Amino acid sequence: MTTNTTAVNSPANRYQPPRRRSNWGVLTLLAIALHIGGLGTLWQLGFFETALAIDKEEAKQMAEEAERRARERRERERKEREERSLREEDRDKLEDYEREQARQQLLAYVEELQRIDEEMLDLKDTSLDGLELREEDQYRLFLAQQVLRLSRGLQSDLTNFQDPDYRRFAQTTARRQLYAPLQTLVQVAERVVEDVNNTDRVNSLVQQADVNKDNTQRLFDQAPPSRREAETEANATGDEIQRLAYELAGKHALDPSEYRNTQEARRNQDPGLRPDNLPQLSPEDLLDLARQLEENINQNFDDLRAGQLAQQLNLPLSQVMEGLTPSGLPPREQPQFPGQTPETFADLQALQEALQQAADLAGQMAGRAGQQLSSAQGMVPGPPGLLPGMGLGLLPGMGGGMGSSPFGIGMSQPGGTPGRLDMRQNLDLTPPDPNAQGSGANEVDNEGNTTKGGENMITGTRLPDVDLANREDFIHANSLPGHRFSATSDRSGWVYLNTFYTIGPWENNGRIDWDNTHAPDPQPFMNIDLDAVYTDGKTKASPADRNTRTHPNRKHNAVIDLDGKLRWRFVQTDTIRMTFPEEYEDGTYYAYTEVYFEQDMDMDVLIASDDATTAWISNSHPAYNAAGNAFRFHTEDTKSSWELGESRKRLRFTKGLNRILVRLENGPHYARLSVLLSPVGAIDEQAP
Amino acid sequence: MRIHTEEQDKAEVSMSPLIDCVFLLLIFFLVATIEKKENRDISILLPESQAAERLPPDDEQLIVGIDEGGHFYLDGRVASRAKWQAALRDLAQLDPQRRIRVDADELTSVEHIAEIAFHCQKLGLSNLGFRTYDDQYNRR
Repeated sequence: MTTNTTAVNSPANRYQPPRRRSNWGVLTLLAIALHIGGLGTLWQLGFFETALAIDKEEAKQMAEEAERRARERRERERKEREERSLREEDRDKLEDYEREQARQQLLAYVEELQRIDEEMLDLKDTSLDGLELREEDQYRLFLAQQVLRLSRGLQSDLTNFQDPDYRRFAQTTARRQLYAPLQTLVQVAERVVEDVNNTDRVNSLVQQADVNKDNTQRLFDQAPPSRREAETEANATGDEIQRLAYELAGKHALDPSEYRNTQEARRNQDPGLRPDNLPQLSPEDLLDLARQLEENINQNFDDLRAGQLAQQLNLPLSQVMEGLTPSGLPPREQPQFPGQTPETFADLQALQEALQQAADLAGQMAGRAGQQLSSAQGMVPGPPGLLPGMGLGLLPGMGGGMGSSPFGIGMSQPGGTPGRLDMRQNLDLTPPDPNAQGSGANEVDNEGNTTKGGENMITGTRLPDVDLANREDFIHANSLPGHRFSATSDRSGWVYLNTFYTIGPWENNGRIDWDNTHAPDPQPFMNIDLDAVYTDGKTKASPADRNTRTHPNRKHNAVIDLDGKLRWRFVQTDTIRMTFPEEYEDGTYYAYTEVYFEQDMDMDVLIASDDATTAWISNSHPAYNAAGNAFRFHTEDTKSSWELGESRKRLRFTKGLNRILVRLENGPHYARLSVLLSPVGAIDEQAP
Repeated sequence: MRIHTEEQDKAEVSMSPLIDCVFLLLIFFLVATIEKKENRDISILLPESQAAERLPPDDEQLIVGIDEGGHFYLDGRVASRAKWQAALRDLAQLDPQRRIRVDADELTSVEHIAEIAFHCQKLGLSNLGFRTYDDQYNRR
């Protein structure tokens, strides 16, 4: 019993209460929480930020100090290097090398400027030719009207002059000698306004203006001295009447042909401007030449602008030219070329900088001139008015003349393919359905023609014949860019699409072959991937290509190797006519854009190109939405230059986004495209 | 023979695991709350402006970014043209008034900015803004 009791109460068997570990755990966690809370509080108060900021500041100072020391070391080394002399046997070689490098760059820019100058001159000639013909009668009429207005004004002033002395004077002597001839002058001016081309009437007007001037002068000499103010005013009016009458009897104030002759004469006199002399010119001479070319281009561009404004405002060309702000820039900083062969590295560096500055300057000139040319090309409406066979961008032997006739059909010379007539023949214009006018749903004539691409080629409505040639200037002047259409918009005129994604070129070997499809072609559905990169693009560019002239890898007359990689590029233009940024000959290009319609709308669509184009417009008709197909807007199969009204159709665009894809086949020279949309009837209502 | 005492019969729940769990949950929610706002900034140098207007923060705005190399971003992530254009189209359908912010590097070619502006204009999205460098904001 005792044993048992002992066993029970022994220390080994005694009950041990569980340790209270939880107390320590709670305390530990509380301590951690307090630390976290404390740190959080410090963080909230910005303690760490301040501490880090101090560190950052110190680090920044250290970095600046290190950079300053490094800069000083570099500066010291640079000075030492500059002060080192060049070896005598290397000086000439180095100078020649640097000058040759710069000369090559300058040569490319000068050639580009020459090309732009030539094209600008052609554009100006084209524009002024038309302007001269159109304006002759208008200007004469303007002059006659001015004479009539001034004569009537003078008559009215003299009659209503409120002065007792003068009235007494006027009622006696002057009545017979001044009023009667003045009345005759007014009558003659009225007859001239009726027929400005009647030489006899114009000569009579001149005589009468002379008589009036003499009378005014003489009679006011006899007038009381207090009438000096009236005398001055009347004399000035008489002078102006006389000047206008003489101008009316003479010729146009601005003679474009005379200006052109001056230009040609100057060009012929200056040997440096001839292309065959360019390779012999030094960088300094090339820069001077670039400056001359820039001045020419500015002058021609200003003339063009004046011509366009004169047409739009119906003002005399000479008057517009006087008021026009010149587009020339203020003098730029010119490079200072060292006068001697470089002897030290510093001299060599100065030469390099001067040459580089010259090249950059010429590059800026070429770039600006290119923009001016692009703007000018947007102003001048295509080649109508040129002589047969002189169309821009045509292949030799394909220069069908494109004179504008009331029927919109051009004439062709033997040996040339008919130009505009040919384009019309290639349009898919179906005869108008008399029951379908005004209804987009009925306007489409599904012929079921199937192309290789698989899409249905469905024709739009044939539009009534409208001679766009007489309205192109108006459309140019009144079109605005836009991609969103609303029936409630205040403006309802022509809208040109100015924003595209473009891609190209693919090789087309100078042929127009729509069956040779590329990735962007609808096959059969339009599926454009703007992020795609294609590697099957054109790989060779001819020396004649415009882009090769400024290509960084360009060598004289050498074929440029392109890498064949093609990506979609975003392009926005400020003119109706869009120029592809990568412009190579014999290439296939695509342009893609989207337009948004707030409701279904019928629109007249004008697509024009240089050279041949086919276009797909998706969502443009409910019938195609169901099939997922795109409407194919086939324009032409000929390599013809751009003409605004070369293809026109009426389509119904449905509410929402409508996608437009244009495939352009480029032949020689330029790749140009324009897409205009207009509400139905705007062309007929708005054109003057 | 085991003797049952009173103390031995008392059941005791240890608080340590419970508190551990509570703190773990607390920290989890703390971290989760901080990470809820996605960083939609991209690594670019913003252009400076003297005439910029300070707008209140808007977490709902759509952010289209463009870096120096012309690469596009949508809400801070690299995006293809198709992606950000689709986002704009969706926005035009769902909420045309929602703010769109363009974050463009100061050296970004202007054609990329024009590209975004073109799509917004075409889709009727007029609440478009361009982010500029803010001395106070960007210093933090």
